[in-house]
Amino acid sequence: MTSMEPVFTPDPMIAISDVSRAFKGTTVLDHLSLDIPAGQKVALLGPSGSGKTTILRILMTLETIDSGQILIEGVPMYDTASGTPHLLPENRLRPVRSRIGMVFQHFGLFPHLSVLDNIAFPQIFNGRARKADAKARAHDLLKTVGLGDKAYLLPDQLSGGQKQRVAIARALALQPDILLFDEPTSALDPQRVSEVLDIFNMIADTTGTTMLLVTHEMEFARRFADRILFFDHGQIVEDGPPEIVFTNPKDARTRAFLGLPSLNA
Amino acid sequence: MTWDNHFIILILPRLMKGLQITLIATLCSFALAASLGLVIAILEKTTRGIVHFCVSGIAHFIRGTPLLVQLFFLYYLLPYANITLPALACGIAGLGIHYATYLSNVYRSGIEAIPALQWEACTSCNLTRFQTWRYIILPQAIRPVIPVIGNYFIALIKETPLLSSISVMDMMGEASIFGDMHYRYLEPITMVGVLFLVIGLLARGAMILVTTSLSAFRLRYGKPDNGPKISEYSIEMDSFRDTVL
Repeated sequence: MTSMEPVFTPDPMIAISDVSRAFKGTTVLDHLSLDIPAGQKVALLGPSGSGKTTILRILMTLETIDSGQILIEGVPMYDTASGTPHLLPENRLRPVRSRIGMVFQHFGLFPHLSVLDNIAFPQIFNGRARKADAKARAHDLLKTVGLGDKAYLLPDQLSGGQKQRVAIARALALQPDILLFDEPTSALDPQRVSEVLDIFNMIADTTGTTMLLVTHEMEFARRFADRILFFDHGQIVEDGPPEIVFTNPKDARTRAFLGLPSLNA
Repeated sequence: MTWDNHFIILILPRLMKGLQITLIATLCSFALAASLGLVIAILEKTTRGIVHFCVSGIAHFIRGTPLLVQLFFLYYLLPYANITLPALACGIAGLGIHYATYLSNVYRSGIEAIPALQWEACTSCNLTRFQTWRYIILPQAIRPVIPVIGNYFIALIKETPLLSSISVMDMMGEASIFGDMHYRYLEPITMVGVLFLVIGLLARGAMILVTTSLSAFRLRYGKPDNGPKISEYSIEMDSFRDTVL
């Protein structure tokens, strides 16, 4: 009888179950299901309009879903009692959302606040730290991303790569369990890309944060991720570690996208 | 009719009394307009359906009818609803509400100029609705429209003589009473005009001061080498926010 004892399986950090989303009749996500365990580094690839950015925006609660459910470590984001999912009311959603951070393609820094305040204020607003502690932490984070001397500048006085690092520091300051990156390298010089990769690896090594990254850069995805998801028409057509997905994908669309010869040729 | 300095001496005490009323009416109605306008702008942005329809409908109605009609309505018709306000209070309310509907449009243009990404960044930082408005959206939305708000302030000053039509004894009211009593209008009305010119110039100067000190703030804290210490920087930021909002 001892063999009947249930094996304890932790909830995945992110569980997306049967999620669909359409914008004005165009299906962007088509009954998508996906589990991501804690600590995984996932790269989302695929042609434009395949739904990969929409996934990040839905996880950040910037978009809603038409059907399905999303669980963050077992905690639902949507109320599905009425049949169609409704985002939880703000007071119940905030604890869930506080576990998620996002770095935007165009950074979204607050232009009227200094670099330091960009990082310190969200902590204060979330009740994570008192003013002095939050500012001290912001200084530390700025040093970590190599911008220790830029604390009192305004975001507009930084280069794209520097803004990117401030945005990362701002997201990190809230100590999220999940970090979402929307095309983090598309606005950067090619030379800066490896710096960003170093920072990502440092985050993964020191915090164990689950990371989801949307990118168009295959090389970046290959070096960053331990799991690649290939999207097409709102569905995942390829799912596996980079060495398999990049060298021997099964799906014809993935092969075409990567410029590999068709399997039945 | 020739200019007679004697009448200026006669009328000056009355005009100074009227000036006080004019200034009180201007400042109170502008304070009402600036705050109520912001409330209308935020309501228009945050509400939907029937509430939104009512708010913007009322705002359109007030914007679309003459101020003089509204003043008469408040002063002569509200008493029938058993609401009797002093003339000055009616004047301040009428002027304030009328200009609030103009200023709400100004605020709205500032709010709509904020990119969607700023709202999304607030969500990603898990800010509450209040924090988002108070610390991120409004400071960015209001600063660029301050010169426009200033122009409305100056326009509002020049509308205050209308209050004399509901028996508020502002400068214009005092001047016309004086004129009626002495059959002399040249000096009183000219003096009123000159005084309004002076007030307008002073207001214009104050506006320029406000606008330049705001951009100086940006320059001062934009330089890399003279970044202030954390404590004084925070104080500066707090007082800056208080002046903006």
